[in-house]
Amino acid sequence: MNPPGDRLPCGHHVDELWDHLAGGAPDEHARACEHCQAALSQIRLLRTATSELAAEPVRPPADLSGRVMAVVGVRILPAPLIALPGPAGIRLCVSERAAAAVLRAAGDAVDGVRARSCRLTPAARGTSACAGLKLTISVRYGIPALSAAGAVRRAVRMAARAQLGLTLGPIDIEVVDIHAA
Amino acid sequence: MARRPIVDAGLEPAVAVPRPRPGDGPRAGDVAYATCATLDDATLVVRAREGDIAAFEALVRRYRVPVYRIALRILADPCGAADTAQEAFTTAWRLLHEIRAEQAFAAWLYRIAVTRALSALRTTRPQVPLDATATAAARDRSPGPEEHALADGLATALRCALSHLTPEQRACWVLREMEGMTYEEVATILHTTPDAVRGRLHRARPQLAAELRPWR
Repeated sequence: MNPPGDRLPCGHHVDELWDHLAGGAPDEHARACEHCQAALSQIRLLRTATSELAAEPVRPPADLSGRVMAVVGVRILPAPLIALPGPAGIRLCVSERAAAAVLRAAGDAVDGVRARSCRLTPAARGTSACAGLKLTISVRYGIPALSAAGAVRRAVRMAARAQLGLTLGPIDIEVVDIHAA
Repeated sequence: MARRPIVDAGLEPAVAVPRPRPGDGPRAGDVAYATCATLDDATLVVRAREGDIAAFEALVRRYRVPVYRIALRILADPCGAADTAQEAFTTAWRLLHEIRAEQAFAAWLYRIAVTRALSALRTTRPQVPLDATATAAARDRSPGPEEHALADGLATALRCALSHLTPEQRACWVLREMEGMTYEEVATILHTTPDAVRGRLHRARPQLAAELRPWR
């Protein structure tokens, strides 16, 4: 008999039979043709073996995530600090990364919004200007982007003031994606 | 490992942020993870790229099973697969800034994992063994009935047959036939063309079928 992979005497190719079987049932010719039937029985066996092997449960080591995160934690660089207004004589700062987490959470709390990039642009030293914010968001399909952006702007401004004691300057919000419900 | 609170301490001078102790109940990190788990890959990738560890941890939790499974099926060695999966994730963390299409994170991650698995396979298993003749003879011969009697099933016979394929053929088989990816997806992961993937599978099938013949 022909080794699988070659063209069969009937003209059919074993690769085509394989793809037919993957997509459902073989065509009319293959159902009636002895060459195709012989090749199909080999293919079915190989497919059965493959499905059996693929169905075997695989469980990664329980500590895999912990091992990865331990390495990641060591490698992360400290984020720049943002000065916060505080009592006289005490310098109070928050890391940009921590501030971003607070502001993203405020954005996420707006219905249908997922905050993505959150970049604070610190005010120039020695000026009374406020830190600016650039935020990108994804909005759920069906929610008007403009009103969502407005709600996010209000939410992050309020969170910055209430949770960080930070008065934000200009807030740029860019809607970069739409996600499904 | 103690999970990091999402709001890390960047406060000066010594303003202590209370750190959770074991048994403190839900931790800041747990809440962050619960929130992150519902987010799409693109959102998590952008956040992780900006140093959000909770977002990256959510990606690790989401993909640890498929990444480990693919590595295990290519390497056939649980310890090697665990090391490969860990390296794949830590490499991903280091290279996150290189992703252009955040929504294609999964394919990008699998590419890193498969590349690592193949390179581990090449270093642990020399391409040209010292006793090339004996290995070739063993490879040409189908397993006898005794070997199959020892095997605990068809899946075991296939596992043995897969170990005789070239690393590239095996990777194609794992991704296409076991993970159910399209030829295009497999080609992207393996840095090759869909036709090359078809060619590798085409050559792998008769070899695998021959080794399973005693089961017919």
